[in-house]
Order: sequence, then C-alpha cells, then structure tokens
Amino acid sequence: MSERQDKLSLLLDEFADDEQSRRMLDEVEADMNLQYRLRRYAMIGQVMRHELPKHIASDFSANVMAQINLISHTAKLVADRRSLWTWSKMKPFAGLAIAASVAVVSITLWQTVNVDPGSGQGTEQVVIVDQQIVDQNNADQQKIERLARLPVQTNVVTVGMRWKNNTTPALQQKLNAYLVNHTEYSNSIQGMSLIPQARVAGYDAQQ
Amino acid sequence: MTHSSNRTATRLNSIFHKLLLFAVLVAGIGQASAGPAMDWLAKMSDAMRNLSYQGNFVYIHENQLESMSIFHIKNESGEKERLLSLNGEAREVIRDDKNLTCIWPSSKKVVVDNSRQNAFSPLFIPEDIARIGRHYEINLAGKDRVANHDAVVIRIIPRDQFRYGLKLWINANNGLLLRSNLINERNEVVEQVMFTNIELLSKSEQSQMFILPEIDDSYSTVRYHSGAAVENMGADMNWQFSNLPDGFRKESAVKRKVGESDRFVQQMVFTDGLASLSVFIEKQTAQTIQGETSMGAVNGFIYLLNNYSVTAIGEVPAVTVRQVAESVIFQMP
Repeated sequence: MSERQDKLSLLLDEFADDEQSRRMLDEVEADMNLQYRLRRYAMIGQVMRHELPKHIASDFSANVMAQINLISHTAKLVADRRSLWTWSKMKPFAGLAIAASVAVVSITLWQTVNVDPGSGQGTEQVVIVDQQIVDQNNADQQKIERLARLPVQTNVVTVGMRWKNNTTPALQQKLNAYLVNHTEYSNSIQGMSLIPQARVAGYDAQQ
Repeated sequence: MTHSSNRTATRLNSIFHKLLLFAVLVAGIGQASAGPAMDWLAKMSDAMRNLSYQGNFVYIHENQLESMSIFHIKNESGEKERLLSLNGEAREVIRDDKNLTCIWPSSKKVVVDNSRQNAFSPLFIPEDIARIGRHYEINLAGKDRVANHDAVVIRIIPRDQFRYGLKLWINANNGLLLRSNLINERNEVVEQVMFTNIELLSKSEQSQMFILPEIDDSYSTVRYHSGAAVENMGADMNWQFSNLPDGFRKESAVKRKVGESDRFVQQMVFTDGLASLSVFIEKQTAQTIQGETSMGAVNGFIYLLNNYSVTAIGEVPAVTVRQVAESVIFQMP
C-alpha cells in the first residue's frame, strides 16, 4: 500500500510521469481505499500549516470522486481524439483541479467565498483554477475547465488570523507557509531551534 | 535531468556543503576565542546537539502560554528529536536526519515530510564569532537557578536597531539551554522559553523514553511533498539588494513551487550570525497588499515591485524586514 500512497502523492505533486499519472487515476477510480486516502492527502497541506477545516461535510468524498471521474474520463476522451494532447500537458491541471476541489486551498478561492469566520458552516463554492494553465482557444481544455468549475459542496477553510494588520485569509495562509519555510531553511542557533519549532507547532493553541 | 537525479544531486551538494562547513569548524575552532560568554554559547550549541536529554518547557508569547515536552537523542545511529505539545491536542513533531513526522493522535493522522533543517550544521564557525561580535555585545550576566539547575546567564545586546537582544540561561554543568528571553528594541521580552525540568538520559533510558504512540490501521499515514526546493534551478540572480542592514549577508537561496500550481517562489535567507530573515519573491496575486505585519516576535513586510511581491520575514525588528524588502531591485541581465 505504501508504494501506491507514494505514487498518489507524486501524482498530486505533479512529479509522476505520464504513464504513472494515467495508471494512478485508473487505480483511484477502482479502489475505495485510495479514494479515501486521496481525500486525506489533500488535507495534508492544510494540516502541515494548521489550516484544517473545522468540519468536513459527510458527502465530501462523493463530490471529490465525482470530480475525479469526470476529469479522468475527459482526459481519456481527449487523449483518444488528439494524439498531440499529452497527459503531461494536462497533468498540472488535473492535479490542481483535484487538489483544489478536495482541499479548497487555492488562493483564488478566497475571491469567491463569502467567509463567515464564526460559523464554519458549509457553503456552496465554486473552485476556480489557475487561468494561466488553460489555453482558452482550445476546445478540449475549455471542456476540462468547465468540469473543474463544477460546484463542490464543502466547508469553509478556517485560517487563524494570527498575523496582525488586517491581512486577508489568503495572505495569512501565505505568511504561514513562508514562516514554515523560513524555520526550515534558516540556519538558526542549534540549541535554540526548538523555539521556532515551538512557534510553528504552537499555532493550534491560538485558534 | 530527471527529478530523481536532481534530488540526488541536491542531497550530495548538501552533504558536501555540510562536510566543508564542519571541516572549517574543526580546523579553526582552536584559534577562535571571543571570551567566556561566547565560549558558553558554543558549549550550549554543542550540548543541545550532542547530549541526550528530556525535558518540559513553557513557551510564552503574546500573552499565550503553551507547555511542551522535548526528547532529544544523540547516539551512534544519529540524532533524533521529539517535540510533544502538552496543551490541547497531543500534537507531536518528530525529526531525524531524514524525516519530519507529525502525529495527530485524536484525528489519527500521521504526516511525513522531508527534514530540511540543518541538523548538523555547526553553530559558530570562526568568522561568525568575529561577525557576531561586531553587531552584538555578549556578556556574562551572573548566575541563577532554573528548573533546579545552576545556570550561567548570558546577555546578548544588539549594537543597533536591526536585531533583537537575547538573554540566555545555560546549565552551568552540562551546557544545556534552560531559559531564553527574546528582547525587542524597547527592552520588552517578546518571547520566552523556559524549561521546568530537564534531565540527561542514560543509554538505557533513551529507548524507553522515545516510545512513539501506538499507530494502528485506523491512522492515515501519508508522505507529504511540501513543495521541495528546486535548488538545481537556483534563485534568480537578477534580484539584488541595494541596502541591506549592516552585518546581514545572504546565506542561501532556493526556488520552490507554490503548492499545486505551476508558479514559483524564490527564497533568500539572510543572517548576521545570530538573527535570520527570509525574503520571498513571487509573482503578485490580486490579493497582495503592501505593508507590515507581525506575529509575536516575527515581523514581516510586503513590498510590491513591478508585478512581484517581495516579502521579508524573520525574528528581527520591523525596521529590519522593511529595509530589506524595500532594498530589493531587479537588475536586467
């Protein structure tokens, strides 16, 4: 199982090659365990940055799988019809679409979400993908883009507003990620490294 | 070049870098001497890295108090550290030479990431000692008692407004850090760490103390790729700094992917030998705003330059991150 987990992780991180990506999507379609794990995977980034949703809707997994099925199915159609269309061109898009629909971590998302920080209640949201990836003149790509715009029933991600001066949730998220990377890459005093680690790990207590 | 060979090359490069740094330390440490206070700092660094110990400490910042437990093992198989939160959910962070593992028992999640911290980098290489002395006054400030241990107190006072001060309590017998205060430019303590107990571990105790929680099939375990740095691409050298605060110099530069997107962010790390800050440069997004922000002792400043956002962030005063961010210039090749 661990080998498949690694492959799934590679797929989401866009490190998998064409054949691996295609095979993994097929495997995900046929395997309930992998579907469940895919959902878990997508939350990992949030977990690492302490940005978990307060609550995940019970039908979340089904929505995610619907998205995967549609994207995967469309990918096959496109591959059959156009030999020039390579999976590698689509891979970043598929990875992004899957991740965005599952985890709702895309910065663009915050433009479209009416956040109610206090409630944490589920709202219907539209996931927008990075427009740079999509060539608007390509009909096949437009089809995939429409699929990625399908509504996803999920919950608002709660980002703790720990950074001062009225920064937006997206900016809070970005600053959190910056802090983690700063902690990892800065050559802090060896004996004092527990302090930046505590700073990062201690975030939950502030929420 | 494939991702795999890139990563291998990166690792080899990192190993070579550390070996080189270590060789410099071994060759030069006998010649370097900057007084007893600096000797205590070097002793503390060595003790925290090479001794096996277990302790509980409190971490105080912005009127928040958190308690944590740390286990640190150093033996022939390497270095291993476990940080356990004693408040709220029993979060655990376990770090060894290769992996950073986070465990959330109540939600049954295990996350494994690559460990990137320079676990074996020496603290002070000889040139750093001289550099630190130029920007900080380091004094012995008496004796005290912390967590039932005799402590030597060290004061590190910045010579200008671009860095924080520190007050450290170091175990007089074995060199372990017992307490630390981070002090801002107004002489206020902005962050504190204090051990309430800390003890050395014998060999037999090491294996007993480092017992991980039971992880059964109900846990979901994943390996996470947190946007690995694309070091082979190197940071874009067109980004330069026209007015860095005195003493800060670039220590490293990496380029990494932003989440699942195909965008990249460049990170440059600057240090004066004690304090450090990072500068992140990436294409501007619609939400980007300019200005200062802070989180406890960490200050940040976001500066917009053409279509890019430049964010300086670090455990330094606000004036420092602002000056660094605003000194960024793009030089045409």
